[in-house]
Amino acid sequence: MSNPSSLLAMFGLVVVMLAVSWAVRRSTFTTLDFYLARRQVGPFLNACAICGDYFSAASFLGVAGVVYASGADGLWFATGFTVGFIVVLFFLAAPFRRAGQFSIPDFLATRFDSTRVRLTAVGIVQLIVLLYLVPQLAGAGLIWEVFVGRGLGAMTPYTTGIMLCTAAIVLQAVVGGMKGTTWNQALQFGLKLFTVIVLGLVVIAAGFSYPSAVKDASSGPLTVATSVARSRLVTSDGRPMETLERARSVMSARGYAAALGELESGSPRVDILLPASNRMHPERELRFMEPGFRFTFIEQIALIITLLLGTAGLPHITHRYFTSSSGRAARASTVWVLGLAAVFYFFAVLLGVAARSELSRYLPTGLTNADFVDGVVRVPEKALLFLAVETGGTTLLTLVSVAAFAAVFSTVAGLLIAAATSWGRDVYEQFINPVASEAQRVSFARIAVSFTAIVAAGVSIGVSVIGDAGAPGVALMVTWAFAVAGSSLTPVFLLSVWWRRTTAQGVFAGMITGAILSIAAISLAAAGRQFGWAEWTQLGHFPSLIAAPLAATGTVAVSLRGAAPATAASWRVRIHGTAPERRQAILIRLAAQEGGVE
Amino acid sequence: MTVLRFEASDETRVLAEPVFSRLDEAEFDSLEEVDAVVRTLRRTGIQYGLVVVLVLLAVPLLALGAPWWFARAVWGGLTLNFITVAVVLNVGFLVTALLFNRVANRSEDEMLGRLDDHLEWTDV
Repeated sequence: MSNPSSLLAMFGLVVVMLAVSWAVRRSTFTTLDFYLARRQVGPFLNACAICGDYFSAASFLGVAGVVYASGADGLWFATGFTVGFIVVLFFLAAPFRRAGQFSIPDFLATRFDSTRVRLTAVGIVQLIVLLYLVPQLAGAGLIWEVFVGRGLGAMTPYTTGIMLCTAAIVLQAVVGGMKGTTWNQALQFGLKLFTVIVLGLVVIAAGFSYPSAVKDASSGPLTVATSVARSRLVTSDGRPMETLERARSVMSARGYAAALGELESGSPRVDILLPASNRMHPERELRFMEPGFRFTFIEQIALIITLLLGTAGLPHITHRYFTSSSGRAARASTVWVLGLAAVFYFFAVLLGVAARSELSRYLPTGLTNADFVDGVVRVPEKALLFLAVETGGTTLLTLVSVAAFAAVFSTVAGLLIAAATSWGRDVYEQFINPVASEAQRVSFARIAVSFTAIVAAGVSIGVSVIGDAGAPGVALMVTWAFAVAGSSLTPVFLLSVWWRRTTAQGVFAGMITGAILSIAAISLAAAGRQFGWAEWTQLGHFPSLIAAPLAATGTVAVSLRGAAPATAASWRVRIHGTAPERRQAILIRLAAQEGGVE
Repeated sequence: MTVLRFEASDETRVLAEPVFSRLDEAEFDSLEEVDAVVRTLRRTGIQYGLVVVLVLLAVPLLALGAPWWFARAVWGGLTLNFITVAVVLNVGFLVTALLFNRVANRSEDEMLGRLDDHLEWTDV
């Protein structure tokens, strides 16, 4: 699928990105400029920037991919990624903005006047950022591999993609700070939304019908492309085993013949299709339209709760609320986000369905090669790309490639700014150089952006994220970031904002409890996936169902043993009151009456 | 005529300082008022949040025990479960968000603030 026009288009995207940052470079002289765009971002622009931040490679390629691979179960990722903003809107958006802080650790440390809380929050924020950054950059490597297909020098295409994307994003963030990042994220979101809508309309124009497509995709058992060891397919004397019989029941004659050819050639592993087992109703044959591919009942609940709580704790998302012009504007941004998310995910899901039903119309029956097993895409994240190239040729492929790069750029830039704010505001300015000048602080922020990016790029290159057996994939690894955020930060945010008795000790206990439980559960699940342990271990991918309530309980229990902070009342007035916003509104109105505002 | 530049020079900040001081005295939030708003918004958030959570949890619950929900196609191959998760829930979230936002803004308007809307420049 290597496509020179994709390379050219990506180069154009980088030029636009850098031009935007260059245009606003004079707005990065102070930390308030660099980290928060001077808190002057309006609701719609902020909503677009939040969407740019949030709709990452996991959303752009991952949601369509997971729907393609999982059918009805994949829909939950789209729903879960959206519903988290309900928690933000109801409980956190306006208080976050009205607190007037720079970062999550800054918010908690100021509320409780605690260095220990600040440092613990810094550690958790950096972990979440890393968990989120690594799959994004892995996505960049994958996208480069697919669209460009060439490496620089001795580097593989995958590594080249990660290195070049990281360099471009660092340059953009360092030059343009938060203002440049905001405009870039908004523009890049516009590009992503435009792309999914255009691709959706092209697919519909080519004859796609949503109900019919689901019906077609559900006409037989849902199949999964997998690589199986020879010893599981045939006995030592060459007789077919049950797994091979199951493969024959769902594969085309040509695809099955290709698998047999592999067996006869003595290959130690053979690529086959298998009918997916139904984890919700084991007695039923699983079809595309039915839930049960990925999740049992309890896992569905756990996924929903993890995504519901996780969004509110994601540093790059909460950070955007600190840039709003007012608490009310922060709430309005969130409503816009929910509207834009509904449109974006409608099309992302539609495209996943279309890939499942329509690709077979374009591909030769039984196609088996590096990308397909009997016509089924091996790496689900690539399904959208193949749909684009089959329905719209090079033009649409180029558009999707640019949008995919934009998805990576916008999310990674937001994550880097959030991480840099935490390093700069909560470590450098507090402990390393408290008397630093504004110029020194901004310089440190730029160094922090670069440092975080280099670490994440190194991890992305060193750790297998996509494609290999046991690799988590983009969507699942992003879910881990949600899990840690939703288990360790969201419970203490909710209590800090809405319960006056919360203490520093309670928040510390809650963060530690949530972080340890979620990390332990994810580690167990990842190991279970790698080594084929018992299925219940997979529940650990979505630990917030248990970890978040325990973190909240720990916060409450420890807080009740101490006295509420002396500043609790003034803090409450600060984050729930609207006096500063009213004063500002009055001044603007009066000045407008005088005709004197410039 | 006083020219008020927001994000302006030190000179204009000095000019505007008496205005800010007067506004700070006249326009503030008392703890009692804020507590009332906190209680209202917390109650509203929890009520709306419970509805969202219950609806969300109802979907997998129905998918567990009601074949008419997850297995019977009602439009082409689309089941009620599929339509709900793919489209209806997101639309429902948006409507809920709009309603909550309106309630929250109205509560803050009604329960906080003391200066009237017909303030003149000379009043401050």
